[in-house]
Amino acid sequence: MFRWFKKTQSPDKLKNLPELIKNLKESGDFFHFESKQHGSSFFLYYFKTLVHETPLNEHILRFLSQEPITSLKDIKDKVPITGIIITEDLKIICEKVMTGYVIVRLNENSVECALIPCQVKKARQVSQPEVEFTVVGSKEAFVESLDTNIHLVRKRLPVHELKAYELTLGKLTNTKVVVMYLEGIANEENVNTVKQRLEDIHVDQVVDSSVIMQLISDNRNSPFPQLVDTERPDRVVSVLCEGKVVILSDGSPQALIGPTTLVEFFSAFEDYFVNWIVASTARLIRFFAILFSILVTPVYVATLTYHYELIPSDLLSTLVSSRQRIPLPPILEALFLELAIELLREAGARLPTKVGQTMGIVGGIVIGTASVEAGLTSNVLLIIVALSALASFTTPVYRMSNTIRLTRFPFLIFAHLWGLLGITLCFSFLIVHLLKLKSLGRPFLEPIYPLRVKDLKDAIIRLPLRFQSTRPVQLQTEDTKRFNIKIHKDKNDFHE
Amino acid sequence: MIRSLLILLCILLLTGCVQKKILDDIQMVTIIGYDVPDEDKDGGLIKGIAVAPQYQPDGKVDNTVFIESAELSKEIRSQYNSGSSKPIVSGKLEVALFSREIAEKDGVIELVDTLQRDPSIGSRVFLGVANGEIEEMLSTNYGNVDTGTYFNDILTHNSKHGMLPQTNLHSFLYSYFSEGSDPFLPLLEMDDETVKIIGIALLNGDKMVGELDADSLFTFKILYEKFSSNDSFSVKLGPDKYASIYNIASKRKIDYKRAGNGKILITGNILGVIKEYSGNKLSPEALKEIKETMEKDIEERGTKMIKTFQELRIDPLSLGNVVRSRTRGEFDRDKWIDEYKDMDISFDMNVKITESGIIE
Amino acid sequence: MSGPIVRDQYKVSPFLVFYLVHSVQVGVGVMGFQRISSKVAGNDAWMSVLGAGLSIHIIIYLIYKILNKEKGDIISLHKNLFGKWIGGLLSSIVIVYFIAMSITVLRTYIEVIQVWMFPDLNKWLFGGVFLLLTYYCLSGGFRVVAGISFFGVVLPFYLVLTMVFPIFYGHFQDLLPVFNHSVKEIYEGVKGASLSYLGFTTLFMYYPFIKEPEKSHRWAQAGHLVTVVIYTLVMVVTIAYFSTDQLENTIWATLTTWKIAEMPFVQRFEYIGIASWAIVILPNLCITVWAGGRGIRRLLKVSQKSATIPLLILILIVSSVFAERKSIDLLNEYTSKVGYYFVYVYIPMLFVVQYVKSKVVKEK
Repeated sequence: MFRWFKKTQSPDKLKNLPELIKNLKESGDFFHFESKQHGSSFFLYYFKTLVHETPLNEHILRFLSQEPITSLKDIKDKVPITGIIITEDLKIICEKVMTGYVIVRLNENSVECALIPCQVKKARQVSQPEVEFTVVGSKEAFVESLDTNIHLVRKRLPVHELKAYELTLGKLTNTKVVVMYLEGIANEENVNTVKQRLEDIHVDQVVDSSVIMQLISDNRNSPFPQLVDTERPDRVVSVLCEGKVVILSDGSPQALIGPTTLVEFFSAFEDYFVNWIVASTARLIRFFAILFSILVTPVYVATLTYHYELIPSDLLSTLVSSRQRIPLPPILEALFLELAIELLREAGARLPTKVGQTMGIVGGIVIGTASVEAGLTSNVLLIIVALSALASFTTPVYRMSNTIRLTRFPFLIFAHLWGLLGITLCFSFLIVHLLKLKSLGRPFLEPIYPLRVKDLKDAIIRLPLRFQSTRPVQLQTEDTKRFNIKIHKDKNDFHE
Repeated sequence: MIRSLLILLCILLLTGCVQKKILDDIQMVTIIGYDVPDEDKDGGLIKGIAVAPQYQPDGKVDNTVFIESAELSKEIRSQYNSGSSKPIVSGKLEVALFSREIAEKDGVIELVDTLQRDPSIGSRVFLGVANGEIEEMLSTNYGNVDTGTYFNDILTHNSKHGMLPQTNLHSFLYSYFSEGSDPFLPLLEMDDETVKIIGIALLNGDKMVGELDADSLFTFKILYEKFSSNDSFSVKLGPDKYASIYNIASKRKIDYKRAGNGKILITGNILGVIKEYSGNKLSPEALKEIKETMEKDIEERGTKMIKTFQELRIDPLSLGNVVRSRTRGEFDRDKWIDEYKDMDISFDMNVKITESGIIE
Repeated sequence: MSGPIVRDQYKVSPFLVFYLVHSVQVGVGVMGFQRISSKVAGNDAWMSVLGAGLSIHIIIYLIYKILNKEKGDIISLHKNLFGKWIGGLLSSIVIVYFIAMSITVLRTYIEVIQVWMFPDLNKWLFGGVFLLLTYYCLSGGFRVVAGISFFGVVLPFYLVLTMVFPIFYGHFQDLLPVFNHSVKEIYEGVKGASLSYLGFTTLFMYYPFIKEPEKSHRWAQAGHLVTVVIYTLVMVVTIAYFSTDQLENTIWATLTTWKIAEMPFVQRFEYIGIASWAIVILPNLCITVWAGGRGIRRLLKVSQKSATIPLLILILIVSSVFAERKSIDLLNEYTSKVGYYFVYVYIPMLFVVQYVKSKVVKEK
């Protein structure tokens, strides 16, 4: 697919170093510098925009001009910077100079050169997590620099078992990607699956971890995300300890976690910071919210279109009189409102925060009330749609809330077709689809199916920490035990 | 794959739809009444009156009344449709009334059968017999309320908290088909812009053969089922002396021993609270008096009631089912009724007054 | 004596046999099985239901005895016992039986929908969509079939709770006197009731797909036991709710009992019940079609995909051709009859033949 790219790949065409330098000089930010003193001369070439000026001046230039340099080996010995490479290989030279190395040559026509690392490391400061903000807990979030991100993980997990397998992806972007896992805990099969799938990626650009996520998903035609992404280093550490595999990609503040399960998308990391009763209640509410969000509008359409018998007599007059003036059938009424909400959300997402807020008010209050007044929608449906939109945002993982809102549309169509029967059919489709889904080869619906009672300790509800002494069975970890439970047994009596 | 799915989706949307019944595009009949038509005016064998509410956006409810006559009850529905602006549906039917004439002469089962056969009609629909002009009863507006709901509310609250025994379409059918019991239906009458339950209609098979007035309902309910109600029951102690009991809870037990000629003993345990007492002081003696008078009163009424039943050869108390459940072998209704006719049925009522209000 | 080799990754845990057995039994039968045995056994019909259930426990025991020895499926069993041709013939009869079962299930369900919900439902279209769903499920392999049978049991389980509503209207003295019917009548009732238990014979096909199949025996028995308990419970409630003659007139007694259910937010429950029933029907269809497709694959050595697609089309055509109530009844009756003899005559016979044959081989 990307064969055109190979033809223009420069190292193939360029024969030697002088030619490469001539080629590079076409860029305005490529600098060259020559010095002749002490009888020896040297030539420096670098990209000004990629190189850190201070070490360049303080270390490299100072040492190079202080003493006479006769060979490239001298540079390696004298310049106090590690990682100096001496090579003739054009491919390496080209690659390194593009990542902030300085080329040093001793004479203008030599093919050999020294490469001194002098990258500028400009990255955003570590800041607060914005998507997964929690009131309690760490306020650090990943940034766009891979090294910083690895640092954030490593400082929380100072053990040698933490491995970071590095590889480069993207023929043009040459993005560094790191697979992190705990050796001796994470299942090797999982790690190998991830490595294999990453190595099989052949695209020109990997600008974000989301791209990787789409490329290594088990089923690429599913609206459901099959890897969790997070911006919280503490969450990454926590799942590493469980035995999961984490993928970090340079330039992306999001880490990918796998293998995962459906329920993990509905567990917020904050659940682990609060008491288990509170956490479990929150999770149950979230599950209810999801079901509500997917089903309530379709059920409205189904009952109003086909199953008037179901509606309790007391509610009947409210519903009928609210719909009396509306010319549209329930399905169009529902689609109209659902689309309106989607529009609002989409517009809000594309606008700066402050304007977005105004959008919300304009959309929510003005359009909502006006459309009821104008007789385009019934106020009952307006409440239902607004509530279900609200409910869809309770999912802690942003990607999942998109999926859930999308899932509603097939349900709506089926509800319009065959009423409640259509909803069950669509629901069956959804279940079969979820049953077939896998995350890195592990069943996606676990621990519900296959039913693993042991893993239910942290699924729909979260049991107290002392129940969490084993790692999830789903991950098939090498070391299943997390810690020994020492339950201090109370004497079987009331306190005196 | 995706293209074929899209084609399938289009086919589905174009041809898959079934008959829609969009809530505001249908006429939901909530109450239906059957009467014998006036011979000279309407013709046909049966007259059906259906009432459907029209909910207005401002919260007002108008009731539309459809009156049609036909040979068959099923035909009536299609005739309604010809006179209605929206299709008529029966899924929200709450009450079905029969005129006394139909119940006495033709029998109701043919009409009930159409209700039972229709899958959209629930089992909780109330059936009833209407005393007097049914057309007028259903054409009247009872305030800003849908007529069906109005009737439904009357019947529901009276059977839940009052003295009306539980009835609905299902229990009617149960008794009708059961070997050892006969159905009964609430008897309604219009009384000056309101509707009242004036008793129950007793049926033999599907024909009305007698009735019980409202006063006997309490006794009937005690003998018929376990219940608790908020209605009060007044006991006449002397010429000017009354006591009123409320919050009555009752349990009945039927004892049947098949020793030679069968005897049935109906035991009732009644709990109640005194609400009113016209005497001076509610002494223990007075309490005892009230208790004994009440017991005797119920027993007397019960005996009288059973006499009537035996004469009418009906068994609305479903004593037959009790006998059947204690008898081996085939149970034959005719044989049972013959036996029942002269059966010795006695009562043993135990009244217990638990409290006397907040004043001693 | 060895059956087909199934790779470990496609096998399911023995525990899932519980759901596989239970879900294939509970299907369209529950909606109206009461009438059949109540016609002969009257108020003692619940004993017939219980009796039929208990007798099937023994049959399941026999199936496990046979299969544990065979370590394969019914195709290899037939081949080993009766040779290639007769065995193949018998296997194809079994396959036809499985297909007939799926046709019955789909057609009866469509009939229920047509009578209770949408009289003008396009059965081609609805059947088509339903079978598409089945195909989607089958394409995931046996693991997904087992999964859908798991959800087909767990998700609609709340329907059991709806049996509470008729209890309020129940006349439990109707159950008395117990044993008011002759043994013969009760046995006739057993015959009628055993029909609603059918379907567990698909075990003959998926046995090789179970990890440590010997261990799954108790799960199969447990799955069946739950069916027995549910059926008996439903039967008891039905007898108490209806009077005998009333029940005889009621085609779908379970659905009719739902008519009395009322909740604050739902006035009529049967519509929800019938709609939820789709999730109960789906595993039924999936397991039987899977068994049929698998049988054809084993017999004719074709791929399961190329066996399943024509099968599904056949099911759609045949089930849409049956239009009348009478012909549907006839279909039901014949399938049930075949099933009855298959369970009570053929399986014990298989057991005996296998036993004798193994004795003969040993003596040689």
